[in-house]
Amino acid sequence: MRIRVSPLILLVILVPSLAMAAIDEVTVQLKWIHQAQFAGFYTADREGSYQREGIDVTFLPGGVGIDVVSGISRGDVDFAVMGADSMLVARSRGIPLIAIATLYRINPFVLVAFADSGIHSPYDFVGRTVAITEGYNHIQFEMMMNQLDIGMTSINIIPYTYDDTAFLQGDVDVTVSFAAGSLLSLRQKTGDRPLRLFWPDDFGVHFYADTLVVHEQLAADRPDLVLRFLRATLAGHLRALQEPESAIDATMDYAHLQDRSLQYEMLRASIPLIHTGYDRIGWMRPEVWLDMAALLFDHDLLTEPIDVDAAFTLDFLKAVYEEDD
Amino acid sequence: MRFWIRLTLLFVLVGLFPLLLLGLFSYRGGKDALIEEARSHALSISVLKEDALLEWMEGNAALLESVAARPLVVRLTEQLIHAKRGSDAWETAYQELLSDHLLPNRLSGIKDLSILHPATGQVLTSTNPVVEGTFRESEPFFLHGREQVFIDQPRYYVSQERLQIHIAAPIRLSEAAAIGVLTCHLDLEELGRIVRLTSGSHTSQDIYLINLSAMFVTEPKFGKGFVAHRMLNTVGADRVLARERGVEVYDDYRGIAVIGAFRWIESLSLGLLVETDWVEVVQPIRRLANVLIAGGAFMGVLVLLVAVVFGRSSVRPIHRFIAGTAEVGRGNLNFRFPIRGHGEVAQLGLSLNHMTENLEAITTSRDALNREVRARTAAEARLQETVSALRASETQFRLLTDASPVGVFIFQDMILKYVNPAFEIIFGYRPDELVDRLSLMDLTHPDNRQHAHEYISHCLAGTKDLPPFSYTGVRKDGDSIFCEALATSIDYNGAPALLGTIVDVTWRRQAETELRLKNRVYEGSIAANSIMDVDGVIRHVNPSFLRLWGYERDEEAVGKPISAFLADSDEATSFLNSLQEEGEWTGDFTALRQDGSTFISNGHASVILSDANELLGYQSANLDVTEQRLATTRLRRAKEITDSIIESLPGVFYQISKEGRFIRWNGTLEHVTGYSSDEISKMHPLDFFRDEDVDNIEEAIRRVYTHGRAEAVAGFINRWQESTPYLFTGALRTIDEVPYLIGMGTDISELKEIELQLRRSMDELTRSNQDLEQFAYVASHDLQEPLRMVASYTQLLEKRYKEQLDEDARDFIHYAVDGANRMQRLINDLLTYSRVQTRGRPFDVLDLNRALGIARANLASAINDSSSVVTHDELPSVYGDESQLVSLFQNLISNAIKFRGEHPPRIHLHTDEGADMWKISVADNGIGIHPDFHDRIFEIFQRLHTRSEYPGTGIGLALCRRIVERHGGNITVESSEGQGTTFRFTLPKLDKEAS
Repeated sequence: MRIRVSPLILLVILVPSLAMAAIDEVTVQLKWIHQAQFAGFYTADREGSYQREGIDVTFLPGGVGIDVVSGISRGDVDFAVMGADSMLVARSRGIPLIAIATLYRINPFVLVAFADSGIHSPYDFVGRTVAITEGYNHIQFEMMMNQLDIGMTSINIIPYTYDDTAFLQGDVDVTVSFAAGSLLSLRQKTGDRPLRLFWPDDFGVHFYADTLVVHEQLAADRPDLVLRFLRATLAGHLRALQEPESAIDATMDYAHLQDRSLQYEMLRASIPLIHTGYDRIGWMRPEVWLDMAALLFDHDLLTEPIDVDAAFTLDFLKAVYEEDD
Repeated sequence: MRFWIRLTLLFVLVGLFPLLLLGLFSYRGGKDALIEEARSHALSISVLKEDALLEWMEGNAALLESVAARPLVVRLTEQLIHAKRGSDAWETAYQELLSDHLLPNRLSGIKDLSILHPATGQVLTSTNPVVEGTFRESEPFFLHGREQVFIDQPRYYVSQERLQIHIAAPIRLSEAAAIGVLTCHLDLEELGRIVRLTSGSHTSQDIYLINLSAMFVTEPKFGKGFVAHRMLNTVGADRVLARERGVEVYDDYRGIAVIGAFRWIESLSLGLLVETDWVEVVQPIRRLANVLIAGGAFMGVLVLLVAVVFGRSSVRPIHRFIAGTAEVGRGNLNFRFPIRGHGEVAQLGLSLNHMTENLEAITTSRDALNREVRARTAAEARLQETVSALRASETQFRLLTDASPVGVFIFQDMILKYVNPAFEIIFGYRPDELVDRLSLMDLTHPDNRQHAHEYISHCLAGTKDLPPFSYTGVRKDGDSIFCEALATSIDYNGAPALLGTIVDVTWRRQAETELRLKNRVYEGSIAANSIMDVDGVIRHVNPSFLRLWGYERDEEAVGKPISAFLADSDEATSFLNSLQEEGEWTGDFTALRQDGSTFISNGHASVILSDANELLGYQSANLDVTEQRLATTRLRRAKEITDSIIESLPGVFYQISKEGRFIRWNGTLEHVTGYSSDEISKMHPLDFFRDEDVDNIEEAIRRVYTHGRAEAVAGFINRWQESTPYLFTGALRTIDEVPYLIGMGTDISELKEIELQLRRSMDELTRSNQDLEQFAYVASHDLQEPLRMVASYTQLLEKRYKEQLDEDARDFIHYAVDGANRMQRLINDLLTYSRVQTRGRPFDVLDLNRALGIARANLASAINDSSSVVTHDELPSVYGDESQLVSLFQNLISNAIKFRGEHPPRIHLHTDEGADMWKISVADNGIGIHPDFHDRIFEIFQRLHTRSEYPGTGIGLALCRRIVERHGGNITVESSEGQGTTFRFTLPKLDKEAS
C-alpha cells in the first residue's frame, strides 16, 4: 500500500500545538546492543529533542536472538532500526513495513587485505582466500565480483567466523569487516602494518545499512507522530556530528559497560557513513532502493518482485527539511 | 556628612571626572577603530581567498580539459574501451595513457587522474592503482562530466578515507558523445594551504572552508581531524549556509569570541570563513586601557591629598566662629569675636559683635514697660461704673415689650441681644437659646439671607421709610414660616444696633396660594369647563372650552344658553331636567362648534348648591372623544376580519397562556381533534401528544418563552387516539402586557411522504458515490502498483543489460517506460478530478491572495524559466477549500505558460465585484483558442494539441471547472487564435455565503 500522507503532514506543520497536546510514549527497537552506532538517538534524547516534540522515548537494545522484524510487525515497538535489506525481505513476505529514513547511507561492510599482500584491487582476489559472512554481505560481495566480471569459482571463499586470527596469521588473504565495528579492533591488532580496504560501494554495489522503519499502519494513522519522531531523531544525529564528544556522553548513559574511547572511535568512523557530504542526513535515493530490491530478488531472497516505490517514503524527510529551508 | 569631607569629595570629582571621561573616550575610539580595521581586514581576506580559490580550481579544470582534448588521449581511450582486458591492444593503451598522459600531469594539487568508462562509470585506468576497477556510476561528477567540464561538491570517500573534490572532463571526438571521462580530485591539503596562507598580522587568524552541510572541508587552525568528521555549528556557519556574505562577532567552534568574515562561494558550493580572535584584535587597546587605569589611579591619590589639605584649611575660621556664637549663647554679652582680614568669616564676626551689643541695650529698657501696665488697670475700673447705669434703663424697655403680640428684637454685631416672648413663640425657641447665641440669619431661610443682609445694612445706615421685609423664616423644628419684619437703627450700649418687629404671616400666604392654585387648575385644565346659571345660560368658561367649541373670547360664549353648544338643541332640555333630578349627569353627546362643525364630547355635569342647599347653577367638564369613538369602531371591525382569517386558516390556530390554557383557537382545531370548544378550554396543549413528542413539544414551548419562537414536528393525537404528523410553530406575542404563545399547526403528512422518498434517493446516491470512490481507490492503488512495477523493472532491464541491447531495444524500453509513466499521470489526474467532490475539505474563509501566492510559489521555476510576468489586482476573501483554489490558480497560470506565444508570457488576474459574486479573470498573451473549441476545452481528457506539441493529460481545465462549480460559481473562456486567452470564473461573495 502506498502511503499518502503529505496533506496530514502539512496539517501537523501548520498546527504544531495540536500535535503536541499530549505526550506520546514511543518504543524504538535498535538493531544491535547499545553503542555509538546509535549515538544520534541518544543525543536526541539527552538534548531534549524528543521531549520538545512531545515524545517519551524508550530504546530497546537488539542482539543475538532478538528478531527486530517480528517486534515491529506485531506492534510491540513503534519504530525499528534495521538493515534496508531485512526490511525489503520482510515486505516481500507481506509484512507492511515502510522506510522513512536511512541513517547509514554507506554500508559499513568492507573487505580488508594487508597493503603488503600484493592485493591492489578486487581483480587480485582471484586465487586467494576470502573469509566472508553468509547472508546479505555475501550477496553484496557476489554482486561486486559480478560487476568486475570475476567468477566466484576463481576465489577460495570460506565462512567468516567473527575471529580475525586466520587473517592475522596469513591463512586468509581477504576478510570481511565492519567499518564502525570490527575494523576498529582489527586495526588495533594489526598495529602499524597498513591495511587496504575494498568497499562494495566503490564497485557499484550500493546497499543502505541502518534504516529507520515503521509499520505502514502507524504511518497512515499517526503521521504527526512519525514526523515528530523523525524530526527529533535527525536533529539528534546532526548534533552528534557537530559535537561528537557530547554525543559520546549521551551514548555512555546507555552503553555503561562499553569502553569510552572505543565508542568515540566508533562514532568517528560512523560519521562519513551517516553523512557523506551529498544530500541531507537520512535522505534516500529511489535508484538505490530499486537496485537493492533487484539484487535481493536475483538471489531468491524476495519471494516475488515488490513495488519498491511503496517500500520507502520521502514524505516525512521532505516535511522535516522543507520546514528548515 | 561633615563639611570638609564634602568639600574634599567635590574637589576629587572636579579633578578626576574630566580625566576619566577623556580616558573612556580614547579607549572607546581606539577600540572601535581596531575592530573596524579587523572587520575590513577579514572581509578583504575573504574576497582575496575566494578569487585565489576560483583561480586555482579553474586552472586545474582547464588543465584537465586540455589533457582530455588531446587527440592521442581520445584515440587511446577508445582503444582501451573496445579492447579485451589483458589483450595487447588493451595493455598498450593502458600503459601509454598512464605513462604519457596521466602520470606527468600529477601536478601539485591534482591527484588520482583516472579515465572512466562513459556508460558504466568504471575506472579503467588511474594514477592511483587502488581506485582502478571501482565504479563511479552514480557520482554527479561522472554523470555531468560526460557532458562538460564539471567541478563537484566535496564528498567523503570511505575507500580513500578522505573528503575529495572531483573534477571531470569528457573525452570525445569533436561534438559526439563522450567515449570516456577524465577525472581527478583536488588535493584538499593543498587547498587548505592555499586557504590558510595569509600575510595578516594576527596570529590567531583562522581560515577554513565548509561544505553545504557545514562539514569541515579544510582543517581549521585549532582543530585536528575535523575534515569530514566534524560539522560546524556557529553563527558564522549559519550565515554562510544562508548564502550570506558579511562580518560579525560570534563564538567559533572552540567557543571563543571571534571577528569572522563569512562568504558563500556559489560556483564551488563552499563556505569560506575568516576568523580572528576578538581578544587579539583588541589587545593593543587593552594595553592603553591599563596605562590609563594606572595613570588615573595615581592622579586620583594626588587629587585626594590636595583636596584634604585645602578642605581642612578652608573650614578652620568657621570653627572659630561657631565657638564664638556658643559663648554668646551662654550669656556672655561682653564677648567680642576677633576680626582678621576682610573675608566672609570676618564679615560674619562683625555681624555677631553688632548683635551682641544690641542685645545688651534691650535688657536695660524692661523696667519702664512694667510702669505702663499698672496705669491701664486703673482706667478699666472706671469704665465698669458707667456700664451699671446703662443696665437700669434696659429693664424698663423689657416691661413694655414682654406684653406685645408682635415679635420684638434687638440685633447688634450680628447676634440677637434681646427678644420678647412673642418672638420666642414665632420661632419656637426658649429664651436662653436665642439671646447672645443666634443671629437673625440663623432664623432666615438660606435663600433669603442675601436679601436679609441687604435689608439690615439699609436699616443700620439709617435709610428712611423702608417697607416691611417679607421673607421665609426657619423655626427651631425646621418648619418654614412666612414673616414680615420692620426695623430701625438705634444706639444700644453705646454701639449701633437694630430694633425691630417680626410678624408671622404664614396662614395668610397659604390661603392666597390655595386660591391661586384652584384657579389655575380650573383655567389650565384640558377639560372644557363651564359654569351655567339655573336657566342653563353659560356664565363662565375656561380656555379649553373656548378652544374646543371654536370661540376666541369669553364674551362670545358667555350669556348663550347651553342649547347653542349642542348639535341637537332638544337634548339641552333633557340634559337640564336630568341634572335637576339626579344632581349630576355623565355621557356622550354631539357638540356643535361655532363654525357649525360637530364633534363627539364626553361630559360630566353636576349641580352647584349653596350652603343652604339652594340651587345656584351647574358646572360641567367635557372632552373631545371623537377619535377614541372612531378607533373603537375600527378595532371592532378589525377583530371581525382577524376572526374570519383565523377561522379560514388551513391549519389549527391557537393562542395559549403561559400557564398552558387555550385562550383562543379556530374551528379547525375542534374539527381536527374532535374535541368541543368546552373540552379544549379545559385541556393542556400537551394533552394532544404522547410518548417522546410530549417532551419535544414541552421543550418547544419553553423555547418560545426563552428565544421568542420555536417550531416542532410531532404526531397530533385526536380524541380517537389517531396520530397525524403536524408541524407546529409558535411565537411569543405580548397582548396587554401579558405574554402568549401564538401559532399554527400544519398537517405535513404529504411532506413526510416526500421526505421519505427523498431520503431513499439520497441513500441511493450516497451508495452510488461510495461505489465511485471505491472505483477511484481501485484505480489509484490496484492499477498504479503494477504500472510502477512495469516502469521500474523496465528501467532496471535497461540499466542491467544496456550493453547487450541494441538501439531499437533501448528505444522500445523508452517507449514502454514513457507509456507507463503517462498512464500513471492519467490515473493520478483522474483521481484528482474525481476527488474534487468526494474528498474536498470543508469550506472556510480564505484569502485568495494567499492561495495565489502558494500557486505562484509552486510554479516558481516554470515562471522563471519562461520569463513569465504574473500580475494581479487585490483579490478578495471567499468561502472555500484553499487547496482546491490553489490548484485552480495553478492550473490556469500553468496553462497560460504552457500555451505561450513568441513573447514571454504576461498573465494578469483581474477582480470585479458583482452584486452577489466576485468575477475573477486570468488573461494571458498566449496562442489563444479558436472559438470552435471553447466548449470542448472544459471536457475531461479533451486535447486541442498533440502530446508532442504540448505535453499533458488534458485534465487541467476540466478540473478547474469542477472546482469552480463545487464553490458555487462558473467558468468561461474568451479567446481567439493568436489573441491570447481570458478565463473568467465567479465565486460567491462572503456575505452571500454567510446568509
